[in-house]
Amino acid sequence: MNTSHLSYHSVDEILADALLKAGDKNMKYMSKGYYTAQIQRALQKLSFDTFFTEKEQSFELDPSCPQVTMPKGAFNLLEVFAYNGECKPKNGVLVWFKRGFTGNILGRDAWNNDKDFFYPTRSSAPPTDLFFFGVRNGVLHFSDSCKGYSKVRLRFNGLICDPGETPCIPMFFREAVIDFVAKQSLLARIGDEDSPMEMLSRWQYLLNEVKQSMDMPYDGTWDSALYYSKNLDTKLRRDISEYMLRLDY
Amino acid sequence: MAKILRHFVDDIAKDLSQVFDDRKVTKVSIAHAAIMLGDNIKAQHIKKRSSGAFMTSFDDVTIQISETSGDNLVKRRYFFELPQCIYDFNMDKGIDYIAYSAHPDLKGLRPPIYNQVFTRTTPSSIPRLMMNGYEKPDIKNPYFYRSKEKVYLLGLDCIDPEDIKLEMGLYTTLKPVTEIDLDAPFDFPEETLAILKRQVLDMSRFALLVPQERVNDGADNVNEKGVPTSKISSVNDIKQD
Repeated sequence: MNTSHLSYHSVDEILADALLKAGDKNMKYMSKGYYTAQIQRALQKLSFDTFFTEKEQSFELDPSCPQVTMPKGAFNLLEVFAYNGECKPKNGVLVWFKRGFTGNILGRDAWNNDKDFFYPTRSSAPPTDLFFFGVRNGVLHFSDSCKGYSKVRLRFNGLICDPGETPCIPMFFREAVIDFVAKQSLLARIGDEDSPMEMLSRWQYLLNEVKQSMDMPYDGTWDSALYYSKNLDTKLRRDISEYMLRLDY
Repeated sequence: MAKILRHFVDDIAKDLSQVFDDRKVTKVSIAHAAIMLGDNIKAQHIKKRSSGAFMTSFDDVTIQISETSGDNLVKRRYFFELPQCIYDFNMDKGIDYIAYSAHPDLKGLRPPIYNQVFTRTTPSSIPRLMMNGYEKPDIKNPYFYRSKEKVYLLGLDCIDPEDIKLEMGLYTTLKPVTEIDLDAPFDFPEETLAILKRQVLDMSRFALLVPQERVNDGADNVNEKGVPTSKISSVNDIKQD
């Protein structure tokens, strides 16, 4: 499969189909904002299921408090690179994850090996040629050796970007997103105590149809989306990531 | 649609033989019955069909804002008054759509109905809308709710109300009897005129059977002439067929 930047769909294109499928083409029951929120939820769920989007982001590193908060939407850290000047290999070092490291917070030891099976012996001070970090409550704590660098760059799996005016939904996710939006809308309306009674059986029927279309193993739209995303060639995946990155920043 | 209400009223008056000078059933009372019963039939007709035949469009409706509170009036909240009575369908479906334009005088802009359409909500649902950033009322996601004859608008607070013009489609009722004009167009579905005629005839016939006055002579059923003798038949009576 190969795509270009023209193959992304906007929120309106998705809604044009999803509203018909959800039986709310006039948006009498739910607002456009609600449907956009459901598109965001669908993209979020697809992100978790596929680890589809890889993103990168740079942060300033304050030497007095070498910490960085994980950016919004990031859920799987892949690589951390500390550097000065331009982000090039010669200008920095890879920073490694160290379990249990929490930095100098609340007087806790910055250098402990209490939970390390291989190097249980503690030294008095961390070696200066090792660059490492720990994660605590979504905050990255960097070792003192990283203070020599002014910036860090994070590479991580993140959510597919927030749906906005720009087309951002890859075409191989289209059917899955349409079904997800229709399903959530129907569920909400069936659960709404103010919904007209005479419509409930109709909505229940529609919901069954959408569920079958979406959740069927292998051939369902959701499984198909997972299959397509996992069978992309690497270059295309990186191109898509680049497109997504440019949408966000 | 019938051309004018007068045709319908004259037809009923003729069938009731009430065309002489001293008639008991006046044209106004027939028109009143026609409007009262006609609204019911028309509402059922609209609910059954997806048709624009009875939707009335209004353009350039201005938004009002009140600096004082009052009866059914919320301070500093955008609203407009419904230009006519509308049917009270479930979920305010008497309002087919409301769209707004923030710069109605600019040329080349898409008509507001293309995308700037309000979604119906209720005041008690607003807190839930505020919980989600996508659903919050704003200029791209405006809402309306109805409170009697007023319709309040949410999400346009950052725009001067004088810059906003509204366009809307309403399912309006027949004009009330106080504003009745026999020579005005009678906005009623043609194919249901027969039902309306039958209902108006039944109601008028019933009115004719009611005696003008009752004499209280202290004894029951003494004056038999004052009691209706004709049987009032139901339209659903099988025996009529």
